[in-house]
Order: sequence, then structure tokens, then C-alpha cells
Amino acid sequence: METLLQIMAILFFARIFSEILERSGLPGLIGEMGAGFLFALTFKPDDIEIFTFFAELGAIFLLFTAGYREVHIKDLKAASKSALIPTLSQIIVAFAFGFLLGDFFGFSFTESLFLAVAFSPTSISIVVKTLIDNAYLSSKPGSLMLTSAIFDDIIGIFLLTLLVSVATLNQFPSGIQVLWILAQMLAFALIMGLLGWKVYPFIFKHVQRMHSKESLFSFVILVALFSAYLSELFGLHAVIGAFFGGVILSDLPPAKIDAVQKKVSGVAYGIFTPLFFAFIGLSIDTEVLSSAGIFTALVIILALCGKLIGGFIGTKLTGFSSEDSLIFGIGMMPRAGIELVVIAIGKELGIISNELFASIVLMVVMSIIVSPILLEMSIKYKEKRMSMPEMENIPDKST
Amino acid sequence: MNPAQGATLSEICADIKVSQIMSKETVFIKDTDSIEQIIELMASNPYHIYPVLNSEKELVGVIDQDNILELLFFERSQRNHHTHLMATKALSEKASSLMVHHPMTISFDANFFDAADLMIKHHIDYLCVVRDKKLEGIISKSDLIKKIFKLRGK
Repeated sequence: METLLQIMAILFFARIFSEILERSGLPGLIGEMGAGFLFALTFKPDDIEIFTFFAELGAIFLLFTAGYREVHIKDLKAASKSALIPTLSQIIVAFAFGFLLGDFFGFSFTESLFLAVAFSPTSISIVVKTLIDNAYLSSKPGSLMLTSAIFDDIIGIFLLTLLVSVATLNQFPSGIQVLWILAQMLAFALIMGLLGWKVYPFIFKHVQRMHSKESLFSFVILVALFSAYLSELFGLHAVIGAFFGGVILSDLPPAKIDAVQKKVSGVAYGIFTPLFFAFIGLSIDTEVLSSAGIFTALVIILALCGKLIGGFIGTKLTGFSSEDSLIFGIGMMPRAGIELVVIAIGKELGIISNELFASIVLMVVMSIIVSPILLEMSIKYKEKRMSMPEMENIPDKST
Repeated sequence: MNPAQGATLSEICADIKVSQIMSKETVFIKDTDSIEQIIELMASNPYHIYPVLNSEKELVGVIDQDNILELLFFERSQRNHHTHLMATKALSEKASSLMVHHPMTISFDANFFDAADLMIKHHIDYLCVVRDKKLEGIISKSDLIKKIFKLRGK
């Protein structure tokens, strides 16, 4: 099929399905993945080379905008102490569950590692609506979820960085190799730091006065692409560079002018990220899906329980009540971002199987559907317990 | 120079410094102010934009009416707006955490056209005028228009 028609059809269906999902109260990305899946099912396209490239750009833009729009570096410092233990605990448990599951089913070391890293991130935005509706956003577990989610992103990116480096070695890295990987990461971070500190402010000061069309917007995109390219030079994956490129621009006034931000988000959310999510849907092997069995069920259950148990233990350790810990654990369940990039990379490198890929996509979809429902139930449960005074002996500090 | 001597409006404007036409008496928010204080300030002043200053009177951010409205009505917004950053801001109580951290600034000794170019090209309504990180004033599109009006009136 002609490439133009392909891209057009996918983008069109992604928009329509996304709208249907949004209207039924679910995030649009499920619709976008569904569009890709149905597209593959009905048209069975054989040449998707150009579409694949667009999807890669989609992953780059997904992480670039995550850094550019969402991260505020100063928040990290303020948030660090209180959220440390719960965050580490939920990530470690989820990671361990993923790795052990892979190990149990006899996956290679790298494939298990991919599974583990895909288990680790959280997308808090899925449950924000539920928290708001129940007036729980400003509660103790609610605000802890938000802080924890900041770290989640950063740690997820860090794990992905390590993972890609290890994956290219395709074995358990030796001490020297680990040092080499860390040295590369450090060198990359230093260069990015220097660019963000001195070079970009200088460049953008002049770019904002340029006469040629859309210079400022163009340079923001250039930074995204350059950062992605630079990280590949350092043996890291392009998406990692894109994320940090975004973070660096996130506090630079000319790069964050409203008019420029709107254009960036137009390009990202209007074109490229829907293509990325559609690509995920399109990459699902339909035969694998029909034979989905115990393994897929285990992936879903363990991915959700890993966060729940880890989050519960972590918050309990820092002195939360059992109910609040439960709420926090459930709030950490949803996934809708980095893990999809993780498995896309794993598939691109030929490390993860079609079955694992499909299972994780299903896990993401399930987590998106289930988490808000469970969260609401846990909040109702807590409120019921609270209304029984004889059960309550710890005064609740949440507001 | 004045128009009577044959200088064009552009030539005159090129000699005008931003510091001559900006609003100097700016109402500002302290970075430690609470959201209640900010709303009170906004309710009793007609401005659209408020600079945020730290204890050394340095410009650290801005808060405009849009920002505050977005946060106040966060619960009513579409799911797409429920990003992590917005949720964190909606929860924060202090100006320092809910302000926009990257205000567009212009140097104290820039001229009329430097400001006008930036505003027109990038659709910016106002610029914070700074000297050594310290806020000197705010220049808006209406300051430019008022100045032109005065010059043409001569």
C-alpha cells in the first residue's frame, strides 16, 4: 500500500478511536494502539519501513515532550526525602517480579531484564482524574503518589539507559563493561549539562531574533533531534537523549514561549506520538494473541501486584496507615508510556519475543482500565473504615 | 529629535529605550506568598500578569491570570491536562511552586524595537524588564501603542 495512504489511514483511525476512548472515560492512547492493531488486521500491510521510521520519531517526541513540558528540575530537590523509600520499594519489587517471571519461564538474561524494566515505570496521569473525583489529590497518599511519580520517570529512564547498553552486549556485563557504560552516561550527562547551562541559552538568545520563518520552533525541534543523535553517539538510545534534551529546554524562556510550546505539542501529539502508539498496536502478532495464556495472565498480575506490594511495603515503612498504603500502592499501578518505549526498543533489537511484546501491551491496557477502578474502591474502603470509629486508632492527617 | 525636524517615527522609536516606556510601578508577588494572597492581589488589581520576586528582589518567575484560573479550575479540566506537573502545581500553596519559572525578559537598555519585534514575532503580550536579574519594570503591548499614539499626536 502506498505510504501516504498508510500514514493517513493510521493517523485518521488513531484520532477517531482515541476520541471514542476519551469519551468513554479512558485515555486516548488505548484507542491509538487499537487503531494500529486493527489497521494491521484489516490491511495486512507488508511494507511499513517509512511508518516504522515515523514511529521511531514518535518515541523520540514522546520522551522529548515528557522532559520539555512535564519535568521541573527544582521539584526534584524538594521532593527527594519523603518519597525515597516508597518509590524505591515499589520500583524494586516490580523490577524483581518482572525479572523472576522471565527467569522462571527460561528467558535469556537480557529478555528478563527487558521484562523487569517494563514492569518498573508508573504513569500517574491515568489516576489523577480518580484522585480528583474523590477529593484525594491533596491527601497524604495522593501527594506522595505525585512525588513518587517524578522519581519513577527518572529511574525508568536510567534503567532504560542501562538496559540498552547491556542489551547490545547481550550478556551479563563484566565490571569493566559496567564502568564503561557508566562513563559513557556520565560523559553524555556532562555534555548535555554544559549545553543546557551555557550553549543553549546563548544560541536561543540569538535565535529569537532570527528573521527566517519559525526559527525558534525549528531550533527546539533541532535540539530534540540533536540530543537524540548525541545520545546514540554515546552508545545510549535516542529516546534517552530526547528526554534530557527536553529537560534542558524546560527552563529556557525563549524555548518555552506559549506560541512555541503549542507548535511543539501540535507536532508531537498531533502527528508523531499517535503514530508511535499505533505502531505498538500494529506490532502485536495476532496469532500470539489468540494463544495468550498463563504467561500473559502472569505478566498482568505480577506487574500490577509488584507495584501494589512494593508501594504498600514502602509507605507502611514510612509510617502510613494500611489503608493509605493500599491507596498508594494501587495509585502506582498504571503504566502508559516508558514501558511501551522499552518493549519497542526490545523488539527492534530482536531481544524480546512476540509473545512477551503482546503480553506487555495487554498489561498496559489492563493497568489503565483496572487501576482507576481499584483506586476508587480502595478509597471507598478507607472511608468506610474511617466511619467506624472503633476501628480507628491512628489519627489521619490527610486533608 | 522630533517629527518636525524630519525624523521618521521609526528613527525616533529606535532611540527610545525600553526603560523609558515600561511600567515601573509594578505590583508584584513574593515567592513566599500563599495562593490566597495571590488571588487577593489579583482581585484588587487590574493587571493580567504579575512578576514573582524573591527576597533579594530578583525576578524568579511570573504568574498570570491564565495560570491561576487553570489551577483553580484544574478539577474541571480535560484529562489531557491532568499531567503530573499540573497536578503538582494544583496542590502547591506557595507562589514559588505554582509560578511559571521561565518568564520572557528583556534587558533594561534594549530599545523600543527590540521589545516590539519579540512581541510581534512570538505573540508575547508582555516582557519583564530586568537589570542584573533585578526587575525594573514590565513592558506590554499597550505601552508600545501608547507611546506611538503620543508621538503621532505631536
